[in-house]
Amino acid sequence: MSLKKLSSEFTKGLIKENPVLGLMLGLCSVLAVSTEVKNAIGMGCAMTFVILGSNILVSLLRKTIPQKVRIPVFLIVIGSFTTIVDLVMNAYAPAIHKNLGIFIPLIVVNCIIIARAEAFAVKNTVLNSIIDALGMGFGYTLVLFVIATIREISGNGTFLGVKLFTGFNPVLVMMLPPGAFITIGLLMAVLRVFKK
Amino acid sequence: MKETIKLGKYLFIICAVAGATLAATNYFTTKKIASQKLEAENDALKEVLPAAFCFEEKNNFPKNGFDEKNNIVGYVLKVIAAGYSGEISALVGLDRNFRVTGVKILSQNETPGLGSKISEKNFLSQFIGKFSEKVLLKKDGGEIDGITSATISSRAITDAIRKNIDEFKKTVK
Repeated sequence: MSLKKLSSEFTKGLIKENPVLGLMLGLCSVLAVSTEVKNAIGMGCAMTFVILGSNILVSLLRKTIPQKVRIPVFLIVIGSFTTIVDLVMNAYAPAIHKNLGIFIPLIVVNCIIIARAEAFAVKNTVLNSIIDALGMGFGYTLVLFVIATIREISGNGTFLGVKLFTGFNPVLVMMLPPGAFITIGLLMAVLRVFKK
Repeated sequence: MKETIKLGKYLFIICAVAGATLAATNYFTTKKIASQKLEAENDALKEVLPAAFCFEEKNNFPKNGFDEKNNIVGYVLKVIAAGYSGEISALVGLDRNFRVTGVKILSQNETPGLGSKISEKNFLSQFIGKFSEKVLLKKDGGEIDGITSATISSRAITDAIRKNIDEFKKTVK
């Protein structure tokens, strides 16, 4: 496997096939957790871990998984990794766990992960799947980070909880779901310009 | 038929492995989660009633807070309010004159960035030192400044705190 191919497997997750802006997957959790940068980073890490674990396992099992039951198998694998993240986060990062709340268990049904298992890991080698997972996870985290930065600064006047300006009147709509849609739309437009 | 059994076997193995892994993870984290929860609970009690040295050991509220000589220095109430989206639960500390010594939000599902600000210090510190008559939004004639664009959440928690204190007073007197 050439290095060039590997690096393109990684970078496709960042821009060309970015899970959020390119494939438009997993928008629900993006809307919900991108109000604060801290939560966005926590969610991104949790997500990356689950996608990495599920991609590795699915790719390892790819020759044995019967075609007919592949979706239940993917779900069990993804569900297990999500529960592990949920428990470990609850034990070692209770503050972030509390903030992310229901969105950690909901990683199970996050379409990014099952899409990568179905579209990539089940057809590719372990190494490729790892790179793919890292690219996708990193791409997701990056977009979440950018959206959360824009929303937290404009909607709350803070970055990572630190107050940036005095006498600034926050744009409240940015904190609400419409703010997320506006931000995602604008980012997509910007990305489109770069793609061309 | 043969294929069904084969598929069943495969799923069984996968599920068994997944189950075992989760059992192991659960085994290693339960203790930590439980102690984390206990610690958080104790910290929360101390936060709303800083004058207390230790607290009554029971599972329900209200709890009495004691100083080093085992005298009652105050009480901690648990308040449940019906917020904008779901329940808000909070701890309220009172001194022996039923003056608020602190409020802490334990859980809430209010709109992030708006109603969720009820758990911020800026809002909660307003309650400290007030008697229940004054625990009312300014709009309603009291002394608590509600959160901009989150009147429902602010009013819900403020009113619930006032009512709980008033009720608690009756049971003690």
